[in-house]
This record gives sequence, structure tokens and C-alpha cells, in this order.
Amino acid sequence: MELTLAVDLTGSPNGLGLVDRDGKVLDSLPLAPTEALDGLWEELEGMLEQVPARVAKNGGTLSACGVAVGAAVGDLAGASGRDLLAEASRLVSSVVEVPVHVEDGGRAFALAEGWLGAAREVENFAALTIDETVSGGVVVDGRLLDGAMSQAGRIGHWIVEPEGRRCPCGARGCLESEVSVPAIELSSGRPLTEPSYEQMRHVGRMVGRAAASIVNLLDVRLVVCGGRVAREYASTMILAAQEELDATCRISFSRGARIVTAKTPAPSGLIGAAAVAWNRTGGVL
Amino acid sequence: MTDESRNTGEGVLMGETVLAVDIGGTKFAACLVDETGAIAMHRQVYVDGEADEDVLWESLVEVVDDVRGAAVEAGEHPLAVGIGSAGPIAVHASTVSPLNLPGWREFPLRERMEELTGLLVAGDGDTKALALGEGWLGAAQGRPNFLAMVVSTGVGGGIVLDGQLLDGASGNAGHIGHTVVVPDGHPCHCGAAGCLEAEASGWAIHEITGAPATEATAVVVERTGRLVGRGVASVMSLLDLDLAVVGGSVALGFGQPFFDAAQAELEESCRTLGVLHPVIVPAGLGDEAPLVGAGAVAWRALGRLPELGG
Repeated sequence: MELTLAVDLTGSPNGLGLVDRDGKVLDSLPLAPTEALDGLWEELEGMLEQVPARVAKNGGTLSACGVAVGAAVGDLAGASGRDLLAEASRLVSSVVEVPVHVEDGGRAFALAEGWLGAAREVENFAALTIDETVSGGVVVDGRLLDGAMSQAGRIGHWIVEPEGRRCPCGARGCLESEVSVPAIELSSGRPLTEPSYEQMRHVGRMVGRAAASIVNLLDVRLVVCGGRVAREYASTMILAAQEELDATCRISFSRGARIVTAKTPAPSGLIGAAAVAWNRTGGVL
Repeated sequence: MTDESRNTGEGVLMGETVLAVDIGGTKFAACLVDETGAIAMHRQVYVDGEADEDVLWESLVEVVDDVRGAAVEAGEHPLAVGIGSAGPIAVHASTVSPLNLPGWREFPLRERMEELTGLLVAGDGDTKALALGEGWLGAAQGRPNFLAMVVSTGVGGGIVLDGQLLDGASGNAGHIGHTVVVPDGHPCHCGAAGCLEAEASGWAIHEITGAPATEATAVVVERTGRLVGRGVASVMSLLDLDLAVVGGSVALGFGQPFFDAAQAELEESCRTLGVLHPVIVPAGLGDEAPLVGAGAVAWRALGRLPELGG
């Protein structure tokens, strides 16, 4: 049985797992939350050393490794996303002797939704995940788009409020500066878990505004939304987002486009990391 | 066919050829395009926007037959037909409904062209054809990731990413004209509000200012450039690309002040590209762009278009 080693560093929480071709998680090892990145790398290294024995115990062979790296780990590292991807790749490659494929967490999320989630068997869709940051991936013509530096899918930097708040990226009015967890807590003065109804609707409208433009731009008819904010605000937020799509997706090919919540089964972070590996070896879309 | 160039009397060609057809809002054009993008036997006819379905088709037949006749005389045998058509269109131009030609609504262009010519017919939207042409021989030559767009009466575009032209679910990917750049902005004819097309197209400029784009003030030129820059910034951040090439009568008519304003807005609003620098420049193919693009559609369908950015 072919297995992939899934390394989830998206903080959802962090962990390792062995995942088969069908997305079944056969074994998993949680990584304790770590304050400093060095600690996390050391802990990860220790865990990786256990992998060969675990693979043998499950009667499989390891054929690839997929790593999903989230913004939370990036903050710890104080590194740009790209440096971090390179570092994760270097570390895992030094211990595991199979091809290692590393992706940003949002892109891994999109692959997981296309593989086992809300976008199964859909050839054209966008997916975004709203946590400390807003990231995502775009699948068009049946493939995850890469772009110049393999970072395509930055839905969080679609401009939804021109002249709006300054985003950490330096621009104004990016989706991330309106709906990320820190943005919501800063603007409302309340924790994420104690929202007003109007605030949940506002987040939905902003997400819907970006999603509607992306639907019209890319001729995709489905947007999948996940992450902490989508879980907390659930259908209130999604309905407000859908209203925005209904108002803005009005050209012949975009009418009727839908925004839905993520459906990848738990542990979705590990499945995302596994999807990164399987996408490069045989495909998951 | 030899690999040597030959003078047809109406343009120099090399290697094999395709027949390129451009369906614009005001005119139809056709010519031969070879594998290097050179064109020959260019014919065109202006069409009456009020003409009915049959009259439009007869106008097109006349132009296409004229090119085919000239081709036969010169001993040229095009391998396929490539169409770039004003939209909206259905997948691969199986039907076309050009906005400015109400006589054609879901007109089965590809089938009719197959019957007329007996050749393989490939079709696509005019802005996707433009993207192929600009990537092949224009301002995006050698680039695997770029947006090509038109700012004229309307606003449209095509996207090449990872060396591939994006199609999307119904073949309409790249349609930047209906991304929202001004929330709750001017009403768009699509039914939404604040679309780039409702704020920065020639049509919108006329609606908003009461004067055609050719009479736009410096303030209007600056605003139009800024809004195009804003739309492009979002697309670049989303898709991780750093080049936009812009054609169309409004953008090219406005010229440098438009591109300066767009570039300034782009640098303010697209901050995610890291070491890459976002750039917006005029399209490079000029008047030949639609036909070179239509030729590229045919070469792409034949699997003989050189890899974009390769």
C-alpha cells in the first residue's frame, strides 16, 4: 500500500500523519504547539525519525511527502512565506528519502477541498481559508494554478475596500485587512467568538465581494470558504456572502455561482498536506 | 511546403498557414497567418450593426471566400481556421453573440464555418485570442504569466498562467471587465455595480462624463488609469503574476498619462509579489493584433503554437 507522509504546519494544530491514496489517515502524531520556531523544527525532526517504523507497522511503503505551511508558522519564523517553504522542504528532505512537496496552507486547503471536500470533481473553483491571515488556491481547467513564484491563490489581497484599512502587506483595503481574525478583533474590540450579527454579515459581504469578482474573472462557479472565521460565523456569514454573489455575478456564465463552507473531513490539515503530495504524484483533482 | 519564405504578392509567408478570422463589433476581417505569425492576403469589411443574421453571415462569407480565393491562386492551403470573436461566446465559439451585433444571438459560427471551408475550425473570445497573440509575438513574448486586456468600448481580457491560456468552466476566463473596482459604484449593464467596465470603459466614460473618451479631460484619464490599475493589482496578487499588457482604443488613445496612473496605482495596491515588480504596459501588436491572435487560436488547436514563455 502506497502511503504519503503528511506534515501539517498550518497550526490547525500542527501534526504528522500517514495517509493513503483514498485520503484515509492511518496514523498520526500531534506536534505540540511551540513558542519558538527552532523548537518546532527540532520537535519535527524528532518525529520524522519515527516515520520509517510507523510506515512498516502499517504495512505500507512511503512514496511521497506533502507539507502544508501556514502563516502562523511564518510569523514565528519572521520569514517570508517562500523562505519558510524552502526551510520546511530542506528539513523534511534531510530525514525522509522520498520526494518532498511543500505548499502554502491556503493552496493545500484548496487541493483538499477538490480532493475530498466541497469541490470534489469540480474542475473550476476558488477556495479560501480565513484564520490569522486569509489564504487560498484557485483551480482552473482542472489544475491548481501556480503563477510566477508558485504562490497563486492569494485571495486575501483582493481589494474589497479601496481607501480602506492598511493591510499588513502595505496596500489598503485588502480582504485580509477586513476579515482576518486580528482584523475582526481589532475593528470590533471583541474576541472572534463574541461577534455581533451585523459583524458576521459584514465579514460575509466582504468575502462575497472578493469571491464574486473572482467568479467573474476566472469563469469558476464555485467558491469554498473555510478556516476559523467561517466555522465560527457559519451560515450567517455564508448567506451574506451568497447575497453578494447573487448581486454581482450577473453575466451569462457567472449567474448562479455558489459560495459554500468547507467539507474536507477531519483531520483536514493532514488531508491538505497529503493532497499536496498526491497532487504531484498522480493527481487529486 | 518548404521552409523557405515565399512572396505571395500580398505578404511574405513561410511554412504552413492557417486562415484567421476576426469578428469585431464593427468589422469582419480575415487573412492567412503562418507559423511565424506573418500575415498575408488581409481582407476586411465594415458591417452594419443593425444587419440581420443572414446579412452578417453573407458579409463574412464574402471576406473569407476572398481570402480563400487569393490563397488558392497563390498555391496556399491553410490547415485550419482560427476565429477570434467579440463576446459573449459559448465554449470555443460554437456559438457567438457579439454585443454590438444583435443580429447574431447564439449564432452557430463554428459549424457554419466548418461547412463553408471544410477545415478544422477553432474559435475563442477576442480577448483570449489577444492574450495568445501578445504572448506569442507581442508585449508578453517569452512570458509564462501575464494578463492581456482591452480597454475600449468595453473591458475584457485573457490570462496566461504557467504557460497556459486559462479557459474556465465555459471558456470565458480572463473577463476582468466585471471585477468590482468601486464598491456600490456606477450601475453596469450586466446588472451589478462598480464593475471595471462600468467605471473605466469607453461606454462608462461617456455615461459618467457625458462626453466620449476621445474628449476626456486629464482628470478622467487619471481616474481611468487608477481604476484599471486597481483591478489589475487584485488580479496580480491573486494569480501571482507581474505583467499586464493593455490594448484597446481607450487605453492606447489616452496613452502615457493613462499608463502612468495605472502603474502608480498598481505599485500602491499590489504589494504581495515579493521580489517581482508589477508592470503594466501597452499591448505590442497594434492593428494586426486581432488577426495574429485568431491565427494563434488555430495554431493552438493544432498543437503547434510555441509554448508561451518557453
